[in-house]
Amino acid sequence: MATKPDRKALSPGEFIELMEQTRFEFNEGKSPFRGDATGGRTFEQIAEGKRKFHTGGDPNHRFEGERYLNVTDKHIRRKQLRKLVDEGGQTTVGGPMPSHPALARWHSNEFGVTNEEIDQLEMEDALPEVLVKEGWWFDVNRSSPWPVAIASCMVGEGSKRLPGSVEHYTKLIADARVEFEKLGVKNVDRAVQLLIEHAPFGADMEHAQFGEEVVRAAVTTPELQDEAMRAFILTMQRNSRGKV
Amino acid sequence: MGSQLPYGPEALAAPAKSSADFIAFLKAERQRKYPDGPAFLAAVAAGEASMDDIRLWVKDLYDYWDKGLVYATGAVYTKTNDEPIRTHMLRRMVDVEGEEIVNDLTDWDTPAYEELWLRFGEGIGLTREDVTGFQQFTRTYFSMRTLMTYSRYWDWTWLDGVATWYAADLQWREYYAAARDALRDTYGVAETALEFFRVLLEDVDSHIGWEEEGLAYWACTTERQLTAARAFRERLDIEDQLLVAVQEVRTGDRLPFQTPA
Repeated sequence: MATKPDRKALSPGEFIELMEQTRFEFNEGKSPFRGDATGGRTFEQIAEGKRKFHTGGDPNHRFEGERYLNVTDKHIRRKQLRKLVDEGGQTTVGGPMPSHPALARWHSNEFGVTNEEIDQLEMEDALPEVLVKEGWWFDVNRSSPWPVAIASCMVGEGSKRLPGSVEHYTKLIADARVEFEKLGVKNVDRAVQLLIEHAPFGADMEHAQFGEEVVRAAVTTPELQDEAMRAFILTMQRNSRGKV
Repeated sequence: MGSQLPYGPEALAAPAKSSADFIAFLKAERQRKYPDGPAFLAAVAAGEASMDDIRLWVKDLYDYWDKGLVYATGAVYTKTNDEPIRTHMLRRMVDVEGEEIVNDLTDWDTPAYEELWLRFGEGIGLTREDVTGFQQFTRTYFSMRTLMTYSRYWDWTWLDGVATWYAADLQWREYYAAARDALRDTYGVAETALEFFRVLLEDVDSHIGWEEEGLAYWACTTERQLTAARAFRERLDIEDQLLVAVQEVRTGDRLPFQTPA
């Protein structure tokens, strides 16, 4: 019986280059950054988008928690916990920044969606498409080897490492400020704080570097690289609006 | 839920207890099941355990502080969708993994429980290798793994998980405090070696309040109260089972199995 020749893993640099090449091809030349197509929406359209966002609850702790639970390397696990503190609220330990779910509420509040309404929305059924997209996302973070789960952050947070990201997010936030003021938002600082947190000068830059560190240190076998690439592509598909 | 039959219509037809009555019921359950706490800790508190017994305890419980509690705490956090409670849980994860993790935000430098436990061991004459190289007693290992898997999966809901934290905190507040006092006053262990106990007990004091409030608010139906109370009792059992093997060695009843290398 013929046997497959032993495959060798790509070097960390080669694998990251392959991920970026895959991202480039997937995006067909379009921007890899979030929020590229925002703007030009009315106050009520933004509020409606926020209502959709809150329906069925916030998933952040679930997938980040799954990653934390699965890590067997104590050093990496504690770095993941530090990330949980950034996203679950630096205020937990007396730091300055509230949790991402709280910042999402700030944004919604400024568009007239009250906390009481958000509470109700978070108790409702998730939209069917969201259910299966998030269900897969929890599964990949729960069921994959931990290097693959953490490497899946290279799609979102990892994009903040790319050239042009600082300029993109700086403009995105500046434009949002102008737009929100025009729309009559009372506290623009609160409305844009989550955007800032997701920018490469907020916590996300450290998280992006952490993702790359894990890829370099732990996604080091052909099997893990295959699985990480599959998760990477599926995550990009999940994030593509209206294409799955 | 473990392997029990589900509660049926008759059990669920009973009205839920008031918040205050439910918390009082949990405390009464603790007194009913373990009025004297784990026998090994009672022996330490009474000065009846030898230093070798105490060294064995340190070796056998290391994996609990290093792996079991870390995982179980994170597991309950991950399935908790109420943000105010989750925030408290995150704070607790930082306690367990070491406040030094957030040093950049806070200047805190307290290390992880497992590190403090190792320092306790060093303070009573053990090396780190003595502790980390020990093959845990099988009963202790089973107890730890039960805590981990029940916390992780469907056996306990997130609210059941809060009840289990409350159970452990009530036990630790009473029996670890008594053990710490005896270690210092009876066994002459230096205060510097007992930092684990100071940190644990301060942390417990900072968490019991929100645990009670959370249980009082969210355990608002008969079914939630029934399952939370069961989980509370199961955690009391686990905390007791964690210390059965060292007690058996101490009393010479038998030499327990250890996990294979």
